[in-house]
Amino acid sequence: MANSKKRKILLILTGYLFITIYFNMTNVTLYRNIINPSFWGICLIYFLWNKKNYYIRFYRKEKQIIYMVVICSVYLVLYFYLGLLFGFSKSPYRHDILFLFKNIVIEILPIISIETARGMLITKSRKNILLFILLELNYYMIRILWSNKEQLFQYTCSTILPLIACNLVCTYLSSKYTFLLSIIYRSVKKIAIIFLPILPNVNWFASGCIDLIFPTLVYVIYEYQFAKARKNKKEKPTSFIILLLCISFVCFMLGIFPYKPIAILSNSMAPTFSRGDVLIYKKLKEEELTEIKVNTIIVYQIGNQNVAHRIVNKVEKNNEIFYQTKGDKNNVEDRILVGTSQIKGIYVLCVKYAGFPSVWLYEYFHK
Amino acid sequence: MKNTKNTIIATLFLAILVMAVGYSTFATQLTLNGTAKIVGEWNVKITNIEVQSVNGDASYETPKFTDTNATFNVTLKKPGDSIVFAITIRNEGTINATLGTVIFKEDSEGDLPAIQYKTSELQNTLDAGEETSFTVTVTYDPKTTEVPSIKTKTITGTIEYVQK
Repeated sequence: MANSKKRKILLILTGYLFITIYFNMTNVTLYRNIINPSFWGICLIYFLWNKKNYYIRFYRKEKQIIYMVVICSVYLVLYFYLGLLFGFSKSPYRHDILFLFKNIVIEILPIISIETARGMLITKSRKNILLFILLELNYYMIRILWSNKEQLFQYTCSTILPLIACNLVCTYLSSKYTFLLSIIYRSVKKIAIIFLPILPNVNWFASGCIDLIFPTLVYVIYEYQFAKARKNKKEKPTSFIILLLCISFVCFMLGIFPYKPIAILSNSMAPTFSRGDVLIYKKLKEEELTEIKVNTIIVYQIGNQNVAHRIVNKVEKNNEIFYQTKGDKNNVEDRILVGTSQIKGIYVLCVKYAGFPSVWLYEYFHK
Repeated sequence: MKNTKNTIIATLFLAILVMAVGYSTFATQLTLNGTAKIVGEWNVKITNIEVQSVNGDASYETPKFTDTNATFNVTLKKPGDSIVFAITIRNEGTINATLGTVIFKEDSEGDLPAIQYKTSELQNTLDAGEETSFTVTVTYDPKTTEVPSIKTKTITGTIEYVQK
């Protein structure tokens, strides 16, 4: 494509960025349902009209495309597997033919058009990543969440960081292979979300981590392939090992393993562990919950808070076991008895000072 | 190229670490069940619950709410006592929503008929950025003459919004 045409497209997209911001701030419904799909629909027609032979690259990249379909399918299986851990919820999307069509137009058409534009505008020196990130940012949500620091943090982690990662990997795929790869990469999950009646109820942390690790994994896999294609035998699978460690760390944080960490906010258990330490506890099976010995430190939940205190007495009431607890530094026992259903696990290990970032963040959000 | 790869992986690790710190900060918050939240798009949630009016000797504990759950406990001492709660629902996502199913049911059907509840009509559509309120009125039937043997009653309400 001639440089003048590329410049023209770039100029149109930059202009559209301002329209995006304006309508996100004023009428998001109009923007989401009419303006955005119409704009990208017109763009797609224009791209196809001007570059009819572009899609022919598909035939030269069959292997990579099959690779991408397989990777995305595995990703989808793993994503839905998370539903077994977090539970499933009903999809908010409607599934009558008309709504399926509407959702495809609203959600998938812009992806195809954006990725085509990305593929056409990419040159060795210009990647225009920032423009594409800005075009896809949800300014409406940022505005809504701006006053709530906690939710804005969660939104940044679960949506904005993955959006940046997604744009980076799509730019990489488009520049090294073909933009069809990035279309497949982005469309598969979206199509699954639109068509399936239930979705895994993953929390923001799991969702953000998956959507950060997955593009990195795609990048590493294709980079590995690329190196192999250049017969660079020195390429070692170190990146895969680091990614595996990242995944294990995320699983550990989510409590998928039998052990789980929590940050300590108070000094009630000093000197065993203090504010700013990280406590690792072991989850218990149901039959073990009534067998915990006096003097054991347990982690239990009261309302929305976790407490880690030592058992000082075991009490039986109406055929149910309750535990009386006390902080080592406290003078008196805790007022409320702990039922077995509140217990999350028993203390195993303490990592000194590792929890201070969490404590500071907690104080920042709750001051 | 290798440097780029190392930078990307180091950035990923750093991002996950920051998110982990954040997660452990908010991890104590309960996992919610409701309609799956497609981050950034679907976000219909409860934003407030407050007591609108109290009649007679009715008393209440401060009502609690999360994004998808509102809980309130009331004590009604004599016939005629009543209390009205107003619950606000807001669509903070970008997908317009419409009212799906609304089910209010007593956990043990037929128990404690003297305690009655009534809900106001809910707004049918909830476009992005809109909010709506509805009321739940709990009344101790003024016509009742018997002192009930059962003292507590649980009513579970489910309000479902779907894509418009």
